[in-house]
Amino acid sequence: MRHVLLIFSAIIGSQAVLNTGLQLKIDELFDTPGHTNNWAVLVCTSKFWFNYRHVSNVLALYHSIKRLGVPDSNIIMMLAEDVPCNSRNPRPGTVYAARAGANLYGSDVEVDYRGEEVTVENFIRILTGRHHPATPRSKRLLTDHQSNVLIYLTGHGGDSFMKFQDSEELTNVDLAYAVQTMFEDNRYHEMLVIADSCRSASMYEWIDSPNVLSLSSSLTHEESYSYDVDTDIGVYVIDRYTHYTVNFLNNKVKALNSSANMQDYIDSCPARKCLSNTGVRKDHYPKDVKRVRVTDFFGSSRIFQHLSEEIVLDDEFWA
Amino acid sequence: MRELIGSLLVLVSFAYGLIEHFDEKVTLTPVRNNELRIRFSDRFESIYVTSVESNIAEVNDFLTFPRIIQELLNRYTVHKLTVTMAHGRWNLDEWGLPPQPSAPAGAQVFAEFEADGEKDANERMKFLVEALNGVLCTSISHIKVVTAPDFVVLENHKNQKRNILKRYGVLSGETTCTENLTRLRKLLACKENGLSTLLHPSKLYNSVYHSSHLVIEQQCEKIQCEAKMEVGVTVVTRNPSQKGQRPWSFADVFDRKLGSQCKIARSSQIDIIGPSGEITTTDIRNLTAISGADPFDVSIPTAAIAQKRSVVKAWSSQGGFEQQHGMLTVHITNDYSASKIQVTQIIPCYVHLRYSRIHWKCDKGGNPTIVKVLKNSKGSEAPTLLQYKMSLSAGQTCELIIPFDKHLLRLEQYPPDANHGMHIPASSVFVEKSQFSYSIHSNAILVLLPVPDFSMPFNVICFVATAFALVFGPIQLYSTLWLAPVVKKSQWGRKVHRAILLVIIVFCLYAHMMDINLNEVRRGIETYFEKLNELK
Repeated sequence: MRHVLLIFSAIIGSQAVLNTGLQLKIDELFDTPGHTNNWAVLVCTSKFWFNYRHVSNVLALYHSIKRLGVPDSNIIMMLAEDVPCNSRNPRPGTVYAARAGANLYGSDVEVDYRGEEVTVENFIRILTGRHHPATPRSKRLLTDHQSNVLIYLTGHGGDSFMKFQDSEELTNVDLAYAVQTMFEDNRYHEMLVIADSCRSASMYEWIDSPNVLSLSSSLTHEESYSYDVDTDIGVYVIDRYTHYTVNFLNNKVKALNSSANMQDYIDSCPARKCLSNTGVRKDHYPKDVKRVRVTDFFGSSRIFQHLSEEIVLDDEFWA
Repeated sequence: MRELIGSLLVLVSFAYGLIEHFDEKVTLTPVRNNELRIRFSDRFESIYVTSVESNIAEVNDFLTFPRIIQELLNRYTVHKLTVTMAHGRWNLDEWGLPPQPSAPAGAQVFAEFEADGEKDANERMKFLVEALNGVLCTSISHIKVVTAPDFVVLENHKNQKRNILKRYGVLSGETTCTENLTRLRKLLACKENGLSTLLHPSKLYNSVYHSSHLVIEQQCEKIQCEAKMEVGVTVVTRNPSQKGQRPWSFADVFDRKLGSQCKIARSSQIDIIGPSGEITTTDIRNLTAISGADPFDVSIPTAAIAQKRSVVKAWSSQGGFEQQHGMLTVHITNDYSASKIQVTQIIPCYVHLRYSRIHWKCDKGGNPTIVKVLKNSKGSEAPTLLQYKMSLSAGQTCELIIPFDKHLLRLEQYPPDANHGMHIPASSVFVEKSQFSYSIHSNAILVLLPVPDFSMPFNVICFVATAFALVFGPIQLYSTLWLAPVVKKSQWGRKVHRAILLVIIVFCLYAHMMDINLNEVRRGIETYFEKLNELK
């Protein structure tokens, strides 16, 4: 009973802060988000040093969503190649996404799956939550029916598949089945799937589960392109789509209360910038993307749900 | 006010019978004209009283000892656990005795714990390794573990205890990077001040060699338990003193100043090893000239190269020139006094040992008496453990020659980048002198295994299937049908059938020549049907 009271008082406290006039007017422009927590799975699927840009893609996005409030415990990061401490790296222990950029591999980075652990099997295990019982919490996607999940895949892809580690493939059917299993197990509220690879629009082709919004860096018949090369390191350092995504997040979404909507995000990389047409799939997403905040997926705020009836939590719950 | 809270905390902890200490130390040793050996060591001690009712230790109060480590100790009833991660190779000739516990390239885990039998121990080890992955941000799930080494592998695990099961594993390919250092720092009592401010990745990974280790142990007597933990980082980096010509400071080495003092540490020492082994100790907690809150730099006068203690040397090499046979040779050279050694070599399952031809070859006085243990664990993917115990006379060199065969593995046993080769872990040598003992590691060996063309089965299936389909399909059909006598009856059905076959063959050839993707064809058909539906 005491806990119920505590929850009520927390709700009343947060409402008082938010109930200022301006905030209410802005809120009218958006649908009420139904989620309470945010999770992200960021996957770099490519091995080898020359795929530096895929690692920096993931790291750049990681820092952006972390800045917007998604904690490390809610981000599952998979990096297939050890780029920062690679012996070819002229600046050991660092990763840069731009020639004059900041180091993305500082002491605040937590990589959950790395090296040979980045496999199709492990990726599907993360999504479906079917792990060996020994798997630590940091390697699990502990989502519930109130979680908004961001899945970001980058690497080399082809029509209907994504290459993992240069030795196996994640097909679009595998991905669709995994998402469907998540839906059946009530493991998400809304999901955003982003694929940044060549021919990436094929990756979401078979996803039929409700409340899934899918984006891709290129259409099925197109290639995706990289953005910047660092001649000191000797490799391309970031891909175009992710570069403009991170740019958008850093410039337009400065804080959690930003009013940038998903349509703004979708428009952030037009064909003249990306050099490929970005793919969007909205038919399983019931909301109007103009009425959805970018921070519903890329940020995380503590959103409280109102309880209208009294709930008595039994001993089993507290055990 | 802060001091008041501090003393209150101490009071509370004494009341509960909890005593905790935290010591931090950094040791700087100039090892060569242009290299500097830096060793960080953070030691924790915790003495606590367990509740009388239950035998399982339950602790709820933590001052400096990390709670996650205490939970690990209690959950898996660990008595002693050593984890090392290293990158690079320790140069025994120039840098002297390696940091103890000695670390091979990659990751190493040695665990001593209680369990109900061997099977339970294997299960526990699996959970323990996964828990370590969570604590240290490593990815050592596929470490190959050997059961209970009979001889000593690591210096700090030399005491044999009864009723305690041991597990040992090495993973040579494991990388260690910033995220591991971050996790180690998170275990420390002072994370943002004290000597740990120097544990910053920007300079530490720009080094010739770096290794880190975590050693935890717990001993319980009746209701009083003593838990100890040591977090250590060793780095060999460029010496900023320009061949001992100019004084240098911490900012030159670490690219940053020392943060404020760590108030809760019992001691925070800076040791500098001089040319004849003398140690200059400074405790930064006793420095009165600094205010305690602001970052400060420590200047160090020119120091000559520290004299190194002679050590037993070990290195591994690979022989053999073709794809089938190979030979691993472990070379061990003794220093200037007689020593007892215990050699441990783990051989992974992907090379097949020729047991009958494993032998030792020694110079100066021939082969000493050798006690050996060979353990071939059950299970197809379990590694083999070879251990030897012998005495070497002064200056003697011995070679352990291990011939092996390379075989083709099953497809799923190859790593993603199979042509890179697979590692045979470094061998460990435990050296016992009359006064002291230590362990050293040789280098890991990269074995190139015969790698099949992974696309070959696919190609063969495609080719054979295509050939069969052609031969028993249209070729047979047309070769027989064309020669058949003309029957006057109308054969429209047959002609339509033939026409359909012909269209399919022509389309297949066209699709092949034009490089048309099957997925595109499917999509084309789908959109065509969708258009038909819209017409209605």
